[in-house]
Amino acid sequence: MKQEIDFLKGQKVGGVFKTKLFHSLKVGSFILILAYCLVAAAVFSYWLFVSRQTTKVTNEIAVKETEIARLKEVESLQLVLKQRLSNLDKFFSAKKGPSFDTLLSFIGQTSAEIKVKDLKIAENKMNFSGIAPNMAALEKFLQDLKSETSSVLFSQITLSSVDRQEDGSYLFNLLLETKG
Amino acid sequence: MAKINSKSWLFPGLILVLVILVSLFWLRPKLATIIKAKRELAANKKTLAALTQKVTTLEGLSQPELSDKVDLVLKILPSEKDVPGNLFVLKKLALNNELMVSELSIPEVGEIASSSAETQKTSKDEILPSLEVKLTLLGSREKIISFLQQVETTAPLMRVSGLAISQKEEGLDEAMIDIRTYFLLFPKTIGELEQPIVSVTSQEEKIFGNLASFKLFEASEVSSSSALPTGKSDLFAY
Repeated sequence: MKQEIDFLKGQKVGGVFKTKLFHSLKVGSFILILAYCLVAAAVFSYWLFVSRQTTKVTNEIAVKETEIARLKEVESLQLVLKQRLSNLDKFFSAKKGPSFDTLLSFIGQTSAEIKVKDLKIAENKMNFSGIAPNMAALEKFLQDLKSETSSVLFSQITLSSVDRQEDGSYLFNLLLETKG
Repeated sequence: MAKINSKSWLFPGLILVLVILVSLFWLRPKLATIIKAKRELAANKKTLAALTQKVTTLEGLSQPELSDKVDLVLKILPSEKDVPGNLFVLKKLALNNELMVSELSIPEVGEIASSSAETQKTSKDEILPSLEVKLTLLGSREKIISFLQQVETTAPLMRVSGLAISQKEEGLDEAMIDIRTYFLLFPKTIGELEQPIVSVTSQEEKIFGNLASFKLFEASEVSSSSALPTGKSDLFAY
């Protein structure tokens, strides 16, 4: 039997392409599985690392919490001290205007000849009712009220009334607004 | 050349299916867990840093020194309305200044050391809750001035809120004084564990320094009830 080889008869182009594609796919699959395994290993390692870190930090937190519990009394003392001092700071900062004793001392110094009949101080207002033996004493008193010290203490001074009494003395009323 | 048949596609196909399945059922949940754990770790690290800082600050504080400071501050700004203590201090101050106390009253005592203090504070828009004491004194003007000076520098913290003076006779004045005595309730809670310790500022240190100049009456003196008028202990005794 005679056999022939036809060297000129080419293989189908599609068949070669298919073979090459298959080969590439096979190699690609290998590379893919290898790379995937690497990625999976990396992810797993990182998860392990993060988990260990979390456990470590959690344990450290527990230790610190115990230490804080031990120092609870110090913390309470510090908290009370801070609360009180910050409130006192606000309290002292908010305090404005002259004190009552300063106002009273000033009136006492300026009204040597004046008889203090009635004096009321409340909420930045002072109501002063006095008796001057004569007009000269009243004028001096009013003049003294215009002094520099007075301008530090009062923002407004109003003479609301002056009445001459039978004995020649003068009954007067002053409304003073304190600063602050 | 190897013949390509349907079996030849099995290997790449299997790998693809494996990759998809592992990605879906292992990798994806794992990544989600990692992201969550990472966030948790970051938060925990922050907490740890705050706690470490807190422990360092607390260890740096001296408990005996703090205790002494708090004792002094509590004498000046008590934690509750101390009615007998306040009355005793005012009476003692008046007597020390040779003034006669003709009236001493507390118009609105309210609840003693309770949340009412806070209500009072907010309603009157004051920095500190207070208790009003009305006092009528008889004596010379100089002594009244001295009393007014001492009231504001004596523990517990007091402020004169109103004053009315009238001359009774030569050298004798009658002073009706409204005094506010202040107190402040303790903080309700210590706060969160990781809340940092707020240190005392230099301004507050200065305030504390000034508190040292406050006149303090001994606790035994204040607690002694003999100085205060008391009612009958036995109602049926004559």
